Amino acid sequence: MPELPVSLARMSWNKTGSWRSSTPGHRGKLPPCNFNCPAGENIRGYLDLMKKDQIAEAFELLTQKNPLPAVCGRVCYHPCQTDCNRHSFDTELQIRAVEMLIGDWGVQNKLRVRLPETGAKKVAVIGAGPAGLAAAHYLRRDGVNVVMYDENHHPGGILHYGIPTYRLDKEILQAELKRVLDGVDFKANMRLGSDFDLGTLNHFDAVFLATGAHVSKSMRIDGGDLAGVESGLDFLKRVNSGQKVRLDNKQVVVIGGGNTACDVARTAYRLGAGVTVAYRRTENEMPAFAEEVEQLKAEPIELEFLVAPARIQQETDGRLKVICHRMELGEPDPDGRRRPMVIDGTDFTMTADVVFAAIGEDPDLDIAPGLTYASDGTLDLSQIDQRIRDKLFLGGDILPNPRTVPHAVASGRVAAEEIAAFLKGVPYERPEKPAEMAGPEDINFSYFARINIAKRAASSDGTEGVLDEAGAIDEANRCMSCGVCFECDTCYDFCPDLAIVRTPGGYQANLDYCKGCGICARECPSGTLGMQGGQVA
Amino acid sequence: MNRVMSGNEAVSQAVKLSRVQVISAYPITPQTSISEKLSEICGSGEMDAKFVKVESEHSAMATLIGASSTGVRTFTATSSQGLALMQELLFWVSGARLPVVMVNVNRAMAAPWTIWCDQTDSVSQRDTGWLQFYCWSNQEILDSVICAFKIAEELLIPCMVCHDGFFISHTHEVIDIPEQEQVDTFLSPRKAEYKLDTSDPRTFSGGTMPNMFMEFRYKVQAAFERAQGVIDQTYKQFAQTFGRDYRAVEAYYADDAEILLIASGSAASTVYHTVRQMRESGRKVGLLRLRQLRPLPVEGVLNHLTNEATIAVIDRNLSPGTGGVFTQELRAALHRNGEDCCIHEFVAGLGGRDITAADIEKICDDLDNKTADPAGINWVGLNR
Amino acid sequence: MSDTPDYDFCASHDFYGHTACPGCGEKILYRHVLDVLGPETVVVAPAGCAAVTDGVFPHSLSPVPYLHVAFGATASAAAGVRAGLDMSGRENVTVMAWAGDGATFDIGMGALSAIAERNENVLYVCYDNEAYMNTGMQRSSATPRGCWTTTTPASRLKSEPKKDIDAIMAAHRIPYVATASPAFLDDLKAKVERAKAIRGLRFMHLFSPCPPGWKSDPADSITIARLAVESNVFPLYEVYEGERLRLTYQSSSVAVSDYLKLQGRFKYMSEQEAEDMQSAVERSYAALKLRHEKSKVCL
Repeated sequence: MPELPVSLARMSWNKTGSWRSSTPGHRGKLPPCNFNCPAGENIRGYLDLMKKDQIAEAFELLTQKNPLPAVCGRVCYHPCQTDCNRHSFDTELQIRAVEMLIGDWGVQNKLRVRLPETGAKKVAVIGAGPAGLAAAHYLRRDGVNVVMYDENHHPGGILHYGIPTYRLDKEILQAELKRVLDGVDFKANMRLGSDFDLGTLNHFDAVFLATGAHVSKSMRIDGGDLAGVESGLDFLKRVNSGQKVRLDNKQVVVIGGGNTACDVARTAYRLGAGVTVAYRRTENEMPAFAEEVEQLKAEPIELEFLVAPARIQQETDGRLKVICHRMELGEPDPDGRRRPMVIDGTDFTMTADVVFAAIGEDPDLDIAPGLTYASDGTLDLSQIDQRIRDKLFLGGDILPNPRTVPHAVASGRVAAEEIAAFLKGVPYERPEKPAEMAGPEDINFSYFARINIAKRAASSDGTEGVLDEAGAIDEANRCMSCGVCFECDTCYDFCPDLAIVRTPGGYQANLDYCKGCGICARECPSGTLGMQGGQVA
Repeated sequence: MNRVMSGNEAVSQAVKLSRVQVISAYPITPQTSISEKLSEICGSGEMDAKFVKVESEHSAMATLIGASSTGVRTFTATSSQGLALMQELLFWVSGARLPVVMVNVNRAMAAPWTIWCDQTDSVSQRDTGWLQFYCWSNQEILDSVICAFKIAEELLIPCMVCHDGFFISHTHEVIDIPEQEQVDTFLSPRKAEYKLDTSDPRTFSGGTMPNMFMEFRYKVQAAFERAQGVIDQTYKQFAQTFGRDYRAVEAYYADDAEILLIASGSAASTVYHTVRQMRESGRKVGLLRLRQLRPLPVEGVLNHLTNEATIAVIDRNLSPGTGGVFTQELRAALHRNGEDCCIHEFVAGLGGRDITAADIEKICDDLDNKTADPAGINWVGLNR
Repeated sequence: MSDTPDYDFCASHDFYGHTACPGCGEKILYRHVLDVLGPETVVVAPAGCAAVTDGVFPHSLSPVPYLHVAFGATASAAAGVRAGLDMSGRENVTVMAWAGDGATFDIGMGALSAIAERNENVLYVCYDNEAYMNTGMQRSSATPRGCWTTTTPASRLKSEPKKDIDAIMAAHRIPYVATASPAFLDDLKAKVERAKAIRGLRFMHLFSPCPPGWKSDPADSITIARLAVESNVFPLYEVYEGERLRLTYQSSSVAVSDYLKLQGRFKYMSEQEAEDMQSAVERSYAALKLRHEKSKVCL
């Protein structure tokens, strides 16, 4: 003992963790963008890399889940932005524009994936749409020999033949496809069911069937088979194939309210036609993505809601009379949308030169004899030769998936993983999605600066949804990293007990000293940290 | 070098010769001229010290707590109300074992207002853990202050050197001022084992639980028990260096005294002169001059006690309800040492009233005539 | 020695195991201030939460020399430490007084005023938790009007406004006066850095949330501190030489009631009292803003 009261040691023997009645830990919630991305992209991850001005790394991370960022950056309906927590703060992040910028950067820099040597395994991919492309690409990246068959001349499927060029530039598409199909043996103009059949594929170790859904539903009305009444999708295919289609001064009626109807209407308008879209419900029920509806409405195209064609007659001058019912909405259907009901005595006539039906598409079952639907909407494969069936994998719109490009991409990528496991003889487990996404209540908005939305709009170069690299970095800087630690040091800084320890990629509570005050969780900007009851040793 | 100077100026000279590094003080009559003189010699560069001119005595002592904790030599001076205002920190200084040296120019405590001398201010601080020295001459003041630093730094116990307001503080005498080199050989720079040092960061005087507090108090008590030895040794060295000899209790005509008067401070010098005169007229009167209240120099008193002597203490202070503090202290100490003698208690000179030769003679007469109360307080010169 | 502060100074110097209550604002402030000041610092602390939570003999939290002193002795003792260090050739060491509002606004006010008048080369920091929290929540002159404490009970809430210590200190025309908040650490650290570089008396007034005393959720300490700033209850500014005033955070328009409602100590306040507080806050802030604008012109 010293002569005077002078300290001899420090306080760290005093383990104040014993005071604790609740303990900080990771909530494990997903960012809404990641949570909602059908393609399974780590959006938060590549935004973070963009923040750090690491576009090459961002491209790499992005294309680990989606090989088509330049495409999806243009055509995806961006559900990533729907629940963006900035939405309730200022305005959601323009994630799709960032994705496009990253994708275009990859195209401009002619990036190629470093491919491994192929091994002995061989997989046939049938259908070069988004699902087939993704499957082929990821299988090839895994060292598998891939032979891809498609009935068309160009790969891309709906991307090439369905989506109009004003939405997806063909050069960009082809550049991106070139990279995606690097190392893949693409066989064009090979239609399954006519040029070859499944039986000829027996020498493959696995077969991936992704032939999509491109058979237009029939209207099943009188006059539905008249000349001048066409499938909207076929029309798009003809235009996208480079055929000269002229509709100058023609009157066109498009029947339907989905994305195809929108594309058909807008394409016809661009070819010189006067266009009317007739949909049997209201705008609210339109299955097309809201953005496409907005774009449709922005053009001089007439929209007739609550209208359904009853029959079509050909006039002597060759023009078509479309006799329509007026409709009203009744009780909801099983899918939740209110059923349209005919209002008697309200029939009226629209005159048209061409009628495009765009009321939905079905998979083409003629590709294999005996292929039918099961009662649950999936395909019944029981009639397929067992030798093929045992190694047959399906993906894309042929399955009852939501028919979007990112869903198809994900379906192809997951199939690739599944096939890879199958080839290795190991069981495949689909990764489980965490149950929760981080919502606005999880975010501490105090840590984020609001942007001046008016100012931002004024400074854009005028092209909607397009960002340059600096703009993409600015945008990425707005990301709040919802639910994911971004190493901001807030928890570390505010701990009165210095009981937050920096660890590689994040933080951990030092339970020897953590008193459980909860400041770290309350302040955590991204809502990563939460408090759990109890002392938790 | 001999010079004529006041008691307060002697203090200033001693502080300078002791190479004090930090001074902090607040003026109060009759201490003021110490503050003034130190300001002058610090200001002129005659002395390399920092004089922190505070706004109260409490702050003066607080300043020294800070300064002394850095390991430097520190000094303050005060009186009366100022000392009382410091009281909280007097405990602090001794508990923190800081070797602060303070001069207290004795002055009575108000109310009612008075600026004149008595010792109630300092004796009432006897429980604060300071050594207390009482001087009767300007030379002794100078010498005591120099010794006080040596003693305080050896024991890690603060020292209070007291002298009577006006009677000594403002009285000029010839004193011998030693050469600086001489003082330097006697008093080396302070060496603090623990101090506020960024290369050895420690916390001073933090919270202490019941399991430790008593041990620290015991260490203070042990230092006090060791103190007389250190003091005596210091005086020995002082005598060797400067040729002036001090001891805790100084006896005059004590050996054959029939009346032995015990006094301190300036009153003791009046007693001394009166005793000498009375000796000339054949009365066997003696004097024990107490130079310390803490530690109470019991041994020095015991050495001079005889069975023949009637003992009386003249106290220029009052602890109401008890009486003179020196009396009480001596009665208790002698009793503890098995001495059963009667000690008469005379309270005199409060609030600056003169204690005259006539007063001393009257005390002796009352003792001879047995008219003095052996148990209660004998008030000297009181108009009831 | 590098001039760049080591912001992990405390973390790397065994700053663990103190006994402050969960969610204590003072300890957040203290570690960051110390991080900026670094090892060449001596701390002087009076009775108060900081002192009692530093540890008991023979243990101490402090990574730098630390002197406990009596309640009213802080300012003078710090000046004494300064004098002692200067006389020992250690002028480079920062002397920091670290005192609560009781020691600063009340019992140590005279001594603080004195070292300000003498412009002692000391950094005096007041961590203000707006009452005597260490003794169990008794009112101080830093307690706001309408606040509950154990000596201003619900039957007689504090009726006097908080003492404007910053104006008092600035009126001494000392080189630097600043307010700071644990919710605005960059601002806090920048101010400590500025204060460290200045010679003479520097006074910093830090807002120090106290969950037990304020009857608030420990997790809310920083949120409350942020709202105090954003509602202008505790504006962030600095004053140079008692003249030039600079607001270092120009706040958004958070209502005072948003700040009040997270704290049980204000639950007895009437609506009228809350409205009065809102308008008092607006008046004070307007006055600061005016001085801020005027100071800009003067520059």
